[in-house]
Amino acid sequence: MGMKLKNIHTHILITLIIIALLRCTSDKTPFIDVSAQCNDVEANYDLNIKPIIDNSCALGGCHVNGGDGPGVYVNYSNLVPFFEDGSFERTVIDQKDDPNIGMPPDYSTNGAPKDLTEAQLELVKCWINKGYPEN
Amino acid sequence: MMLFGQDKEYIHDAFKDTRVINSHSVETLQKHQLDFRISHRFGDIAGDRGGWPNFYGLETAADVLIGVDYGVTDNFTVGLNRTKGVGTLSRLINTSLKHRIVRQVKDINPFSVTLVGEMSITTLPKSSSPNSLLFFDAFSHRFIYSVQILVATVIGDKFTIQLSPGLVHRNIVDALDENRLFNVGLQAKYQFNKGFALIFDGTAIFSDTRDSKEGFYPPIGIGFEFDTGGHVFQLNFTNARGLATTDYIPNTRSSWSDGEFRFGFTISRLFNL
Amino acid sequence: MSWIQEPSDLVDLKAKNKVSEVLYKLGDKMPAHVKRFPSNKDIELGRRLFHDGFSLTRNGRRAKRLSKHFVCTSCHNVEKEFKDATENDPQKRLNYALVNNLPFLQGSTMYGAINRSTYYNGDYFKKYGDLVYPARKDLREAVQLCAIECAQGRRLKNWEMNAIIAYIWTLGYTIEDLNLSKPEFIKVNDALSDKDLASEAIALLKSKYLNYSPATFVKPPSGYEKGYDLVGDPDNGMNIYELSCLHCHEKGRYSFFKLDKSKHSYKYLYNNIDNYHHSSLYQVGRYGTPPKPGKKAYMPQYTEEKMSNQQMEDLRAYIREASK
Repeated sequence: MGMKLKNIHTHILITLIIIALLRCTSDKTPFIDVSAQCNDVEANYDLNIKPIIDNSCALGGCHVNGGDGPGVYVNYSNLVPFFEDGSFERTVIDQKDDPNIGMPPDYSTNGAPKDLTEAQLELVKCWINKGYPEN
Repeated sequence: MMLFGQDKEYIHDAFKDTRVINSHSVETLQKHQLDFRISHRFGDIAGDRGGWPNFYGLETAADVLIGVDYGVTDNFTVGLNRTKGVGTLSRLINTSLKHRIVRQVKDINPFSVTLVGEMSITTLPKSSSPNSLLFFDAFSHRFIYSVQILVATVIGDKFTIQLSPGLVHRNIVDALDENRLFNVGLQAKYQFNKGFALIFDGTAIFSDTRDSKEGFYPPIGIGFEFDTGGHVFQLNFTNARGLATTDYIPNTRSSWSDGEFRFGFTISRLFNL
Repeated sequence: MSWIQEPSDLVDLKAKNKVSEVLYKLGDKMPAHVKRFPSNKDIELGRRLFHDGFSLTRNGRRAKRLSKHFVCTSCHNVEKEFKDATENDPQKRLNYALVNNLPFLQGSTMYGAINRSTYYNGDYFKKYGDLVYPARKDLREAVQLCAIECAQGRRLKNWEMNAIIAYIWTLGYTIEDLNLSKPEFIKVNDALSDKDLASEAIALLKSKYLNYSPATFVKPPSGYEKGYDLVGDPDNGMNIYELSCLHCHEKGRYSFFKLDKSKHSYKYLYNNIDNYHHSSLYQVGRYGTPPKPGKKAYMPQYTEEKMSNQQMEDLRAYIREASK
């Protein structure tokens, strides 16, 4: 009986391993040539990025004077350090789905949007791709 | 004087727990033992997202783990736990199979060797965007695997060192990322006295997609371990935000030098089932 | 129906004859716990139950373990523990254990248990109260009490109890164990065929072994730092540590509190000797620990008959030496 049990364990183990291995794939998401896509898109701070930042970031309690977020995002020069250290791109684009790191954050309570819209995201991506032009 | 019934002198435990901060240790549970585990990683202590505003990270939960491990035999442990997760593929159910191949025996065998395989499944809802990692056009895209071989040796009464080469495989990754990440971990323990030890856990990931230019850093942790007989508590500091092997190895973007390390703890409680 | 087959070949006394069978043949009353003749199947099932803690049902399926925390051999040996079956001294027991490679345990050996007429004797009333009364006269009730209270497990089913008793039956004394002198042997042999000599022979046989295990609870010393005020022998203490403490605590065999032969263990034990807490050798040796919800595997204490004050001091001396 002891031997039988050991065999059942081994069989279950091998079955689980086989199922796991059968599910193995090496896939990637489609490669998107952001530069090509953004060729025809006009994106600069003064034109169409400032409104996005004012409505989603530089809000009471967040990236303003006396707010929780680092930086005061009311003008372009205040934003520059965050372009240079990569944190803007990282939090707004790369890790936007992370509930704690992604910006805008899911935990904001001041009525601000929890995510940028698809259209806003596309604009911001192109703006970053072009090197954060001011105007 | 020969110990009763003993013709080989097994070395005392290399580690007191089945984990060393984040990594697995060579230890397996005894037969019929249930190990109930809770782990927590707080937010960054310093850096952009740390400091006084969120009380040095204590107000944020970077990751949480709750789960159990069970000793099917003395050398075979199965595990099941749930983590919040820190990568894009988060909300993970993690399963593990751990098999001890060889135990360190004085004068005969200098190492303990254990094999551990893990499989994680994300329970996040599908995304409608075809470019997203969460599109899940194949169900298998929800899976992440890790396999490691752990080799440890106890030196004297106080010191244990372990090497853990392994492979993490993600079924779906971003366009410019690599599915398979080869990694080698180093874990160590210095036992001060019966109940108290210093522990270290570091992992090097061998991939161009994981160096600091890309914004990734090796997960490194240091901590203290308290063993009260029945309970093991670990209190540690680590830059790794994630807890599951399939999560913290590919997704550690926090840098120690920027203050992006955090306080964390693990509680392990043994039961006879 | 007779519980035991009439040993028809028991005409000439032999060294290997079981004492219980000889007594039965001589006309002695059988104890209450012996109800059926032990079959080989029962004996094997009982052996597994005793050593492994579980057995197979009649359908061949695996039955639930008796206890999640202990097996019988956690606390009881199955071998003889003294050369002389009337002996009781703990140091003689330790010496015998050393020579014969046996653990030195808090529980009495099951060898000869079937020949005893009373269980949970003496001070065990202080620990278990009224629960000891049914157990005192009946080995079956004693086994149940042990399974539930001592092993923190479940009641044995009837078939399991029959199996365990059958196995314990095989561990009964033999004539050889009683070390009869030649005239004594002849006396008993003659009584097998002469009913008039029977009662004297029965009395003679019963005087050659202890029919109960005395149990005297001892207090720890009044001052833990001073101890029992005896000079300890560390070599003897080492034997106690290896044969007794490590039996349960090594590698967490029967306890979550692990001990080994590293300095960490010795230093811990030495530093906690004078705590009035179960981390102290004296406290835990004389009082044991109680089972608690969530931590039911507990430590039984040593009675005077299982660890003398001198032996406690020997153990302390060894711990002191080894911690340096």
